[in-house]
Amino acid sequence: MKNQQLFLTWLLAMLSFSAHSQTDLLIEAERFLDKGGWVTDPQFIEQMGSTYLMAHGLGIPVQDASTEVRFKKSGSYHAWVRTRNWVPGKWDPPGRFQLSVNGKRLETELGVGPEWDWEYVGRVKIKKGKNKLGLHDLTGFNGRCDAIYFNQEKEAPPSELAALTSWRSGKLDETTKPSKTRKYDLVITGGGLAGCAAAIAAAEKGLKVALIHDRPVLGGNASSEIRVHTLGIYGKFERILKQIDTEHYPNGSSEAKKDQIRRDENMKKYPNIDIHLNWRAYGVGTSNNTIEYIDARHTGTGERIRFKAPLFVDSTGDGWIGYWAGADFSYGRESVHKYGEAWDEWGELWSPEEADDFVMGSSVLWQTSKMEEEQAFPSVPWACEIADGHQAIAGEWYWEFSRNDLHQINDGEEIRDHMLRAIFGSYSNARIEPENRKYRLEWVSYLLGKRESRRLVGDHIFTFKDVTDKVKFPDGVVQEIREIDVHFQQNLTNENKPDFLSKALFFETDMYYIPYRSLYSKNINNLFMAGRCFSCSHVGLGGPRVMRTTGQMGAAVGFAATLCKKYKVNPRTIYTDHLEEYMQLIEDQQ
Amino acid sequence: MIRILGFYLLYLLFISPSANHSPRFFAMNEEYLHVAKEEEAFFISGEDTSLQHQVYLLKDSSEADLLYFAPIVTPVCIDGKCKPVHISLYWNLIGNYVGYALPPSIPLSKYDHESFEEKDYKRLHQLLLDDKSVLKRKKLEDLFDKNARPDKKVRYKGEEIDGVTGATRKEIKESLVAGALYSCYTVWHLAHGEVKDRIVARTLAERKDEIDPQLLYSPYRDYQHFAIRQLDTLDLLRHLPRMVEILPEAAPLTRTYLLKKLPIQAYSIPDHSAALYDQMPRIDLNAKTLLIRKLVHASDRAVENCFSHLSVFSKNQVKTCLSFLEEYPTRRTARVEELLVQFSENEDFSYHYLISAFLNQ
Repeated sequence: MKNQQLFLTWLLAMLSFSAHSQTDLLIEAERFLDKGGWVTDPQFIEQMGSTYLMAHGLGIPVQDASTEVRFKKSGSYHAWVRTRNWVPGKWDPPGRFQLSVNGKRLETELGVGPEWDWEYVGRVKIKKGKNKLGLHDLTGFNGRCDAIYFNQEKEAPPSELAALTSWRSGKLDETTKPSKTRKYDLVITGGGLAGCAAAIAAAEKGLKVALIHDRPVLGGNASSEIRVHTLGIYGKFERILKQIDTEHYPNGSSEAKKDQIRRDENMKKYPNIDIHLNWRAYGVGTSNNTIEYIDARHTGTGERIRFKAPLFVDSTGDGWIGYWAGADFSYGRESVHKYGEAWDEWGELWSPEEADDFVMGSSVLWQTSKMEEEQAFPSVPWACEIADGHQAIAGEWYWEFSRNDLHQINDGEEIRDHMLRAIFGSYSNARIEPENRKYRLEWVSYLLGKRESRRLVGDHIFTFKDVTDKVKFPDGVVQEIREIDVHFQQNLTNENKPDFLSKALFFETDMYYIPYRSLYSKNINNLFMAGRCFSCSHVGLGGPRVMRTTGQMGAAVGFAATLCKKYKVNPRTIYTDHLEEYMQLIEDQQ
Repeated sequence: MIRILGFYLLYLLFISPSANHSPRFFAMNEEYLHVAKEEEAFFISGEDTSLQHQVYLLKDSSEADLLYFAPIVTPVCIDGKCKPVHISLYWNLIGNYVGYALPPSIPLSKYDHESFEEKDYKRLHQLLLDDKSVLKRKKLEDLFDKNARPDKKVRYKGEEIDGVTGATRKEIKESLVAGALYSCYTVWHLAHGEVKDRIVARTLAERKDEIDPQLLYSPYRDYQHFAIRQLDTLDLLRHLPRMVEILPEAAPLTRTYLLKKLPIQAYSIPDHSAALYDQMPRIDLNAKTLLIRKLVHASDRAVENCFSHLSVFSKNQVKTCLSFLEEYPTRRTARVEELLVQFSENEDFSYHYLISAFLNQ
């Protein structure tokens, strides 16, 4: 079965490579058949244009990636690679690599230009038929390759993103519409805790569900790839959430892998959930403020599918489905006066007098292991500026980065890279102490663990005031007792602190409730949202952003979807016309 | 009752206020040297609400307020056995802890009765200076009593980890003086309890008509922030030179607060505007962002000053500056042009290529 899948993947790759004109060829790096030690990174497609391969070797060059491509014409070709130097400065670029063609490594070192762009490799001899390409990492420090292009005219491909996207589609023979269409009762985008819980709830009630997730494993921030433990209570949904949550291991612990296996196995038990792993949505089709379909692309093969359904859940975290559909959304911190969210004790740190975009940051977790022998580690001059003398041998939740000139979505790659520099630099600094030299850098995530980004606007915007006023909503489907917990960067109050460390402010609370009306879009008729992109204010997000709570949101919308199907209505009508039945359905889950 | 009586006797014996103030640690200048008068201000209580502690307002010879002060004797109880901790706490005029003193010959001691070492005293001061300490949100029993609130304890692989708030054991450990956890907890809550609100209320009541220069023009960052919070638009404009001066001195949080609060006119008055933008190298990136976003209101000289500091900007900030010129081409003066050329040629500047690309458009 596995071989068959591999063959199909290969066939698809070969077909897409060979379908172009005879004198040029575009190869997407993520479609390499053997990725060696390179990892697939689809996090920043919307900003830089594509999934890419990255040599995330923690200072040890990773194994070569390789693939075969078919040329229709032999001859001398110009080779280009789309890449970047991720830390431009007065040092050797940290992520350098080389291209090899038919076993011969080309001299040019790549990953040296300051922005994503095509770097010229040189002339290469290509034979007719199969040719072997390879990516050879030189540093182990996050060299990155988006695509390789060969042409005979030495004309550089477009640099500007819109032109590049159009050019790329042409070279890959992509039509506007995906060739495959699949129909479901409910399409859920984003397989974090919220998306998984929504899928289970809907599937238990017989809905045919598609769960689209852009990683190879489910769980989002709780996955073994990011490793944040789940916090919060189960509310009414213990049966569902216990299938997908985590133990309370220290953040970053490899124990996350056990929960990953359990979660993946549990999710596969539902025959009516079609789990699409490594698929990333890239657009939606709407009509009269109603989503008709979501288009998604496989992050490895580039294959595309159109997902049609009467109902959709946006559990992407970043609110992408709502954003593409034109849903109202918010970003940043509201003025303290807008919803009355003051906590005088902490003033501006809690909620500012004037609105701003200084949101909670993203984390990158990491872990070391103590070994018998001293461990080698290369010097990292490009990381020192960020680490700024800070020493550490492990990360925790407060390794978090936010700055007011950086947008948590649009500048995600810079934020992730900043954290990588912080980690490599702090670890390197810690090694000044002899007792720390036995610590081996065991694991560093390359995925951003985001706390806050877009928040889609629903019929109710959940705020801190709902907590302090102890509002018991008639449609309170999510409940929580965990503190409202808002973070700020430590260097705001002490500029001697590194800019990548945060501090938390905790507001102790009794049980509070989130209404169903915060879980569907105000202006997109058939869109639910669950997870950190639910309808709330900045401070309102502070408590329920933890993952058992977001899981409760997912389960709540999954059950709402079943009633939407039963009555052939949109989410809002469940609140206006079927609330009693819906609340009973939720109550029955205990 | 007997316990209260006992501590009252100790109070009488040891803690009547003294005209000689010599704190062991003090986070301000030597204001305590100028104390000429002690005035009873109010009482506070700590975790043990049956004990009241007198707080004094300390004044100089001209009757100007200097500090607040409370000589404290409080029991620290472990396993039902109590012993007294003698410590005098100092607060500034907005209720922030600033230092402590100890009575002669009564050192602080740890759980095992060992005396504090010098590093322990220093650590206690650091702990007390941290108004966001993890101690703030922890109940005493959560920290120390392993049998308390078992439903809230989380164990993983036999090791207790914090399951309630996301704080780590390391974080808690780093906050405390080893072996003196109860004392740390008790004193921290006295230093950061009701006293702050009481002092702030007094300070605001005495200065309700206009901002006190003592606070706005002081070198202390917390005073500056407090003072700016009380200012309205007209006050801000009246004190504009001080605002420009404060910018690099103030804490980053105060800078961002001030820059958001400053009215647009502050950016357009030529001299002040230019001076404001000339502070760029001395302020943090968040403050820089706020100044850059106000460029449209800035005078030509201020714009030129801003562009003269391109090398200390982040990539997004450089991009924002260039977008500003694109949108307002008339602001691209000869001096700005000259600066752009200079920076485009400076290969030590990480983002020189952005300027080159802009110039080549």
